Amino acid sequence: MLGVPTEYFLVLSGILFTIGVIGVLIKRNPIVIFMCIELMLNAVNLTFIALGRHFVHVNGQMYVIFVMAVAAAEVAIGLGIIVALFRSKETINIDEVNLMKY
Amino acid sequence: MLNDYLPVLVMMAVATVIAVGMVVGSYLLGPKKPSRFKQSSYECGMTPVGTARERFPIKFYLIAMLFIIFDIETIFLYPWAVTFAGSERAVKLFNLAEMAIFVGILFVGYFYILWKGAFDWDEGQREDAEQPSRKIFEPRAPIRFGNESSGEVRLKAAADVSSSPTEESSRLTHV
Amino acid sequence: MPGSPTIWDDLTLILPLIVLWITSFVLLLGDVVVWKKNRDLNPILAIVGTLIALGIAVYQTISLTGDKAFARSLNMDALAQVSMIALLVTGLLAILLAWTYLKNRGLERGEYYPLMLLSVSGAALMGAANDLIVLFIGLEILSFALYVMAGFSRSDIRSEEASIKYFLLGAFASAFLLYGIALVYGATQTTQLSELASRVHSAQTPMLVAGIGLLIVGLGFKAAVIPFHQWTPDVYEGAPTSVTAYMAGAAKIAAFVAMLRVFDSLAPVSSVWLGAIQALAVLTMVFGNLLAIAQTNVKRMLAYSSIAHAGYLMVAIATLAHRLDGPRGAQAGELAMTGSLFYLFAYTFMTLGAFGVLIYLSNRGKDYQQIEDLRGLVRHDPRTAYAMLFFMLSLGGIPPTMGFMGKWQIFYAALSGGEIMLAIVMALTSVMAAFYYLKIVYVMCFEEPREAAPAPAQFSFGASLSVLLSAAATILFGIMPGLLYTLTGLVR
Repeated sequence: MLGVPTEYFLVLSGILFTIGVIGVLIKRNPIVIFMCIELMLNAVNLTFIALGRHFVHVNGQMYVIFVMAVAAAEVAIGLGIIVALFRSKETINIDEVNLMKY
Repeated sequence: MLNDYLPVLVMMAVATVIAVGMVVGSYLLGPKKPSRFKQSSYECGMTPVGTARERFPIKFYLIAMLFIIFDIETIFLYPWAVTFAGSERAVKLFNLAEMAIFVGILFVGYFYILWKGAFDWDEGQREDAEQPSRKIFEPRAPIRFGNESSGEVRLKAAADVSSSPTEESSRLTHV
Repeated sequence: MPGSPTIWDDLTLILPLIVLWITSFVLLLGDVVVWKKNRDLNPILAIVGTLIALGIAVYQTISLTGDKAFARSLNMDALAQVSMIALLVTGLLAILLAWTYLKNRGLERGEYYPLMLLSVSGAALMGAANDLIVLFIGLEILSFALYVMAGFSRSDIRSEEASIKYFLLGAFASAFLLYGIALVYGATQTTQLSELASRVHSAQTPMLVAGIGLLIVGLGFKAAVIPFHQWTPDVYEGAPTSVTAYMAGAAKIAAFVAMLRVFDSLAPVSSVWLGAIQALAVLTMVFGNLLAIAQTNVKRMLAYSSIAHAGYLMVAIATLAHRLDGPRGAQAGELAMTGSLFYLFAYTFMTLGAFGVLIYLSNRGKDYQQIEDLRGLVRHDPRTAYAMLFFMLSLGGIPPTMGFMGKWQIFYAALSGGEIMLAIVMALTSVMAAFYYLKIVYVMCFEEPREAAPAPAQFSFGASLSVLLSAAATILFGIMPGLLYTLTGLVR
């Protein structure tokens, strides 16, 4: 197969996924956390496309469409929840949204 | 394999050289006579006031959310269209019906938000409009983006915990 | 195959789901346009829709018409149909519970029931998935509705907090699940579970191991398995009680049926994942029960108890690993499958019942959430107290209740499958669990009421009926489990 070998894509998507995970763990702003989660999902999309190309399956690309639709719904719900939280709390810092403790 | 990328690299190098050259050149060659008006962000028109981190009305987010959903759903149309073009005549009608169901489900969502009034920009005209809790021009607390320290607010949260049970019970009403 | 299956055959197989979808669309639009004021119509229509779907599902299960559908992406076998029945029953009980609870709190917005029906359909899809991508989509349909429902009480900051915590952690976990799916696809070139079973053995690469690990993380989060449980207590406590009750039942059923399916097809490579599942099971059973002892809030205690129950179900999953180790292992695997389905039925009845008692009591005008609030309940409301007594005994796994029968089946399966260590931990932690369940019984029966004469509970048809049905099921199937065996026994 011509072009970039599949391993490159897999490594790149692994790195992107890891960046996303680290971002989720260290950031405090839910919108940024959310962006990191989207990064993780897009890393998976890259994996699917690369694998689909490698196996010469159309499935790999089809899955990406489903994942994108799910991610869009996730964005809408996430923004909705964050907006609702902001309206009642006037802050979106997750350290301050922590009433319940063990 | 990397040879294929050589033109791209050359292109990037040329672009970088030109861009940096222009900025550096104008910095070195241009005469400098600063004045108060020249230093401001806009040299003519409005006097710049306040912070650039203005809060947008929440409606922009609402519209953005709704847009994202319906925008992304259209990507399902592309693979469908490709299959549709190549399918036999008998199957075509069936495929069309399938897509009609899909779009019909989208329409359920569309009519829901339409009738719910999510597209009414001017909420005041709605009969059941919620009154805004606060005037737009009233001074507000600065937005916290999460990168500031949050020491004093923790105390506020602790105070909320202690007062919440009574609030909760007072909110319950028999209907 | 006698004649290739047409699209109509496929649609017939998912007819219960179609009924749910149509009902939720009608409710969604009808509430905005047609019956704006008559809010009682929402739960009534939702109940009608669920009952129709339940009827169809029961008919299809009895007539054994299950088959793979939609290009083998769905597997509507007995497992899918029985789990769909369990989910529909959960949905039915939860709608009854929500009816007056929402009304008393001014939360009676029309979106509640459509969201609930859609999440039931997502959960059923998850249980019927033969393709990992369908499983993912089902999971997301279930979760999205639950995220919104957890934050349904918009004036209550705790509810909002529960919603955002659930959302952020849930989205994080589903990204892990998705990456796991991608890696399994990469290792085996397929995402279909039935194909996977025949291919995994020859594809034991690091990629497959990583993929399975990520699948465990993603599914373990939904099932609230320690150490992926942090969201559970906060979300259970913060969400409106009617939502908590529903979520506890439905999410657990969906997550474990999906796990049963996934690990059933991964059984050929059980050496890869068995150790992880065993470790998670032990952790979950021990710490779930330990943390539950310290709680003072009943909702929070039930949250930890739901974690502990997830641990018992993990024992069944670990037993499934021995499915291919000779006839004895195969029998143990079958027992684990039917046993965990029975357990899921038992769990949903007793948990919905326990939350239902809280909801019923909350009709007095204050929220009953603390263990303190239940003091001396038997004096002023004996019937409710006895119902709660049965649910607590059942949750604690004390005969002659349904919870005991479920636990016994999993225990027996683990023993015959050779998971002796897990069986022992299960027995010991069950004793530990009895402590905190019996604490509630003690508080209800033997302590003085805090107030002499509390306001009488408003009669609420929905909550009473739901508690009554749950209590009846808990006792009936506890004494005569054979009635339910005929249903769960189909899964072989």
